[in-house]
Amino acid sequence: MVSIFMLFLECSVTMALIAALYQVLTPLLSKRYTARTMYYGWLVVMIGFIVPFRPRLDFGLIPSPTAIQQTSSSSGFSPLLIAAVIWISGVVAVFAYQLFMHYRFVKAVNRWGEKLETPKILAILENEQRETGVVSEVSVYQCQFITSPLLLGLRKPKILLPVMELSQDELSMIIRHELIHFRRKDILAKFIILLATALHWYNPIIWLSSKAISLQCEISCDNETMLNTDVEQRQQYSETLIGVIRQAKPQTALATNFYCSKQSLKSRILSVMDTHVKNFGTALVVVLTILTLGTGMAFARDTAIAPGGDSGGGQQDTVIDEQHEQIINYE
Amino acid sequence: MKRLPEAEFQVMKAIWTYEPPVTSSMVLGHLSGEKTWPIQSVVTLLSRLVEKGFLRSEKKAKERLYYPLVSKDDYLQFETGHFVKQYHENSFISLLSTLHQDKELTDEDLDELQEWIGKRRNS
Repeated sequence: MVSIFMLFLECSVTMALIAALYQVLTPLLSKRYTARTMYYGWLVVMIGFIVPFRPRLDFGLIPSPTAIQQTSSSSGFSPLLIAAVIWISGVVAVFAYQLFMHYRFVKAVNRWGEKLETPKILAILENEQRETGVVSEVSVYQCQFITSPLLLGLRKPKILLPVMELSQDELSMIIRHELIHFRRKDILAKFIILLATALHWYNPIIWLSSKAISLQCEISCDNETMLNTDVEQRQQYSETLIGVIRQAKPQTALATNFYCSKQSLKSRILSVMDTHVKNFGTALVVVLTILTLGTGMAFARDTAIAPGGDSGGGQQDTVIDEQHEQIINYE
Repeated sequence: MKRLPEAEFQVMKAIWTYEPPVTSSMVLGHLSGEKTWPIQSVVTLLSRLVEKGFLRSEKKAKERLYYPLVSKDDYLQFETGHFVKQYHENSFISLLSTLHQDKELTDEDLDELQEWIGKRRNS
């Protein structure tokens, strides 16, 4: 267990560096690349957090922490073991808590959600499904306990609407936005993020990254919703975003936590109103993938180092001996 | 307050649709749409709800009248209040928002943003 812990710890440190760099460069990169690029870039980083295995080179810039661990933890009950136990407990707790809350939420929707089947809603839904090419069976529910529209379900999606006054145009835009979330399988991405945050719960960078990726997810979904529209429609869409928040306001005695902070709402609106043509930066996603894979190379190869090596100096020798053995074996 | 099991919840939901007082036959009338409930089980459920403090009952002539003690909104908030705090778009909660809470949007913030959009329209 300690070695798994060390593997993820190493991954946490190196990926946090990449995530932090990406976050710092986001304003700059957003000028050139679409939100979709930024979103996929984040997904690569998140997967990098989840899968700790990397191709290793035989020499590394930094001695692998796994190697240090193996030489130092010869006694049975080490602080590392305790740390590993705390880590695992945290992972299980975060993951279980989130799944439990999700389960409770789904149950509440089934109990309290009211299916909307008015001709008006069905006509809008049919029209937007045609526009977005979503052929699955979609239903629309109204729920008193949510403050913003949301999407639930991977196969038979439910679009949940809060109780608020919405015009026909606003409804179409909201439904289209949610259908695009469904088409892009964004809930799977949310699951990846959930997994990554659970595995690295002690790392503040992962929480900041999960926030950044949610924003990029929304911005890119906004952009797809507004594909091939004019400025007038974009203004209307932005006003819908604001309108939904305004109407959610009276309920904020309950809702301390509406999904949009001022900064992110502003980013979303700026992006919707920005009609400059941007590129899909395949190169950016490739660079991130290479960086993610490359993090393993910063560390020395750490397989099967003789345990209980004498001191720091001896450790280097062990590694080199290992390499010799490898070379001989391969010859 | 405790979370109601499904059958008791259905009975409460029926009661909330009427102006009190409500009789068992009114509840039955409301429930009969989905599946057939024997009147005896409805009466049992009603008395269980009285025990739990969700209803108050009164005997008048031959009929027993029921008055809700817990309103729909109160019960809704009891069951789902915490979601409103923790849920955002797309069904998965993010612990982040409870850890690093953003400043709430004020009406002025929203006005400011709306004004900005308006300016874009005129330019």
